[in-house]
Amino acid sequence: MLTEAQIAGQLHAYYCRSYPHLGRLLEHDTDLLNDWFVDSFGVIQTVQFVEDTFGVAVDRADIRADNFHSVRSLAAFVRRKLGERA
Amino acid sequence: MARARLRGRAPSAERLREHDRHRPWVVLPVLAALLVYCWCYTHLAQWLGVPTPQDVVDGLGLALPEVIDQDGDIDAKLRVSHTRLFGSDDERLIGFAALFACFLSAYFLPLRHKKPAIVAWFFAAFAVLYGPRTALTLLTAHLTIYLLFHPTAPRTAAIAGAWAGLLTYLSLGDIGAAPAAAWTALAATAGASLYARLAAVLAAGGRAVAALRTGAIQACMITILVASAHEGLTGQTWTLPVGLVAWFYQWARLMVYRADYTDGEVPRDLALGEYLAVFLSPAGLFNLAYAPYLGQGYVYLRERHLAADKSALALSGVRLWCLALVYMVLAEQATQWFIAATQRILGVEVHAYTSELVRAHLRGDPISAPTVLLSTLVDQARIFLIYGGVTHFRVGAWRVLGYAMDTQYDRPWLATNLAALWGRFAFHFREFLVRVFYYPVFFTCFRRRPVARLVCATMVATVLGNLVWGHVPPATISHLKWSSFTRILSTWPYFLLLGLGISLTQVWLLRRPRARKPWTLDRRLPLDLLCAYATFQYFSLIHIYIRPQPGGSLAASTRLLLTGLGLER
Repeated sequence: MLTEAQIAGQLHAYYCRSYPHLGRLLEHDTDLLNDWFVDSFGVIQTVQFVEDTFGVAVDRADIRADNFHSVRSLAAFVRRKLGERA
Repeated sequence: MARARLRGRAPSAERLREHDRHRPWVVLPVLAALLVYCWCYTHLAQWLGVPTPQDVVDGLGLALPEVIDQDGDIDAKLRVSHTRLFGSDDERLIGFAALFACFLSAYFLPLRHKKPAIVAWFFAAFAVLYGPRTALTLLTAHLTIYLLFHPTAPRTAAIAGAWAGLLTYLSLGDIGAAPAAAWTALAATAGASLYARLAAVLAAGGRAVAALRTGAIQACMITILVASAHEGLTGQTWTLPVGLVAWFYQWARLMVYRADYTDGEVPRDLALGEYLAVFLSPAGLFNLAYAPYLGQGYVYLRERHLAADKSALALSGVRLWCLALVYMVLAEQATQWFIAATQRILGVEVHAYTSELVRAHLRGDPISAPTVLLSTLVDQARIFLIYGGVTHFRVGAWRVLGYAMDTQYDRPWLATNLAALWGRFAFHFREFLVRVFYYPVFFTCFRRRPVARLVCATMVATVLGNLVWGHVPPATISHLKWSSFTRILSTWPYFLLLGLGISLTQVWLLRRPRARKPWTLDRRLPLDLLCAYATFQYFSLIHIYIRPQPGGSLAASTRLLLTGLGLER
């Protein structure tokens, strides 16, 4: 099973590729919703990416700020989902 | 970029205390802003014997026929809807006074008394503006929802008694004080006793209870359907009590409340005061039909209440009020100036309203592509200014009362695609559609087919949700006629084109992730400008379909649209 660090690495690469933010560095604790520019469609795209890449099913109730707040919180969420599946 | 506001956590008790520090001087800017509103929109200047807006405009030698109204103050976009107990200026004065009094209470009272004070000031102002009976009707309607959704809350038997008593009192005609009191007392006793037994059934849930709750939440839509059909069949139009109309205007917020409840986010034992504070605030006294979804449901307001320092919130509210005033005062005049300049400089005839353009087309007047493009653009810009002004005022009021509320309207001219535009001019409405329509479809249908999943969810939200639950109620609540109902449904091509536009945008963004942030100062900035224009123009142009005129047809509207695109002469 992927470690949380590996998941965070893939998410980080995804955001750098899909949501580049010139002149700013994306940290694992960067606030994606306020300090980056993940808009509401970005959240939907993230759901799609997470489901396709990690094979977990994201539910409506999972769309919460504490899950989508940062790369770190999102990685922890995916890890939790993978654990539930296993 | 359209914001994402995801559900998170309410501020902790410690954070709430931090944000509740008094800075008494904040009262001054709030009072000053409201006095400016009173000067602009009421008879206050005449009463005080100070120069009126008309005097100032005349003194400056300006000609602003679209700004000043007949009685010398500023033509108002802010209105108190559906009441005639006072003149419009007096209604506004009462509304502004209630807002100020409510601000003082919400600012200075201890934390636990802030929300009850907001509800109390709402009822006081509403009862003055609409009459006590109307206020009681609104309260009774909300008690119905509360009792259906919160059977395990404290003191529900007493509340049920009050509900039954109120319902009986409001249903009785003029039968005299003593009989009315007797019947009311009897109904209250019976209601309390009956609910004590019914509460267990409601708490257990089940299909029948779910259906009952759905029926109550959808009472507005059910009433519209039944009353419109009844009028179509018999020619008799229903007249609803104004209190019920005011409650119906909260249909979208009730639906979000239901979604919050279903997601387990609303405490089952929520106190009545907390429930009423979701829906009843003096911030919602003006323009019932404008953005009735402002404030959304329980979760949004729980997270936004004192989410920042209350003084900073109040000052940000005052800034929004100032911006709102500029928008509302200048919208019509700026439109006229733009039209005159366009005709003088470019020699292009421009209609101020899309409806005028459609009528000219139906009359057979020769219309050029620039006329269609500019007329629809100007009309939409005017609507954005007015809409932005009114919603900024209302959001400003929420902020002054301590809620860190997002603006409904966030510089829509910066949107470089249709999906972003929609989030920028109707944030709370989009959140309503996303919560109630988009998410349920997105997380249920076509999970393994990304494009179909996106398109399906978007079309359900932007076509079905937007047309039926977004536009039918405001178009028909006040005119329960079959013709009103069918007229709004006949505008479906607008919703279809909007849905298709947003769907295509989303599929494009899914396939081609963004390589840069829009409006970055680089060599692709002109492309942002072009995209912003194309987005706004497309959105304005499809409004041809939402302004149907007598004698019009789908074919005629399409010909006008094609004329605008240069494909038809």
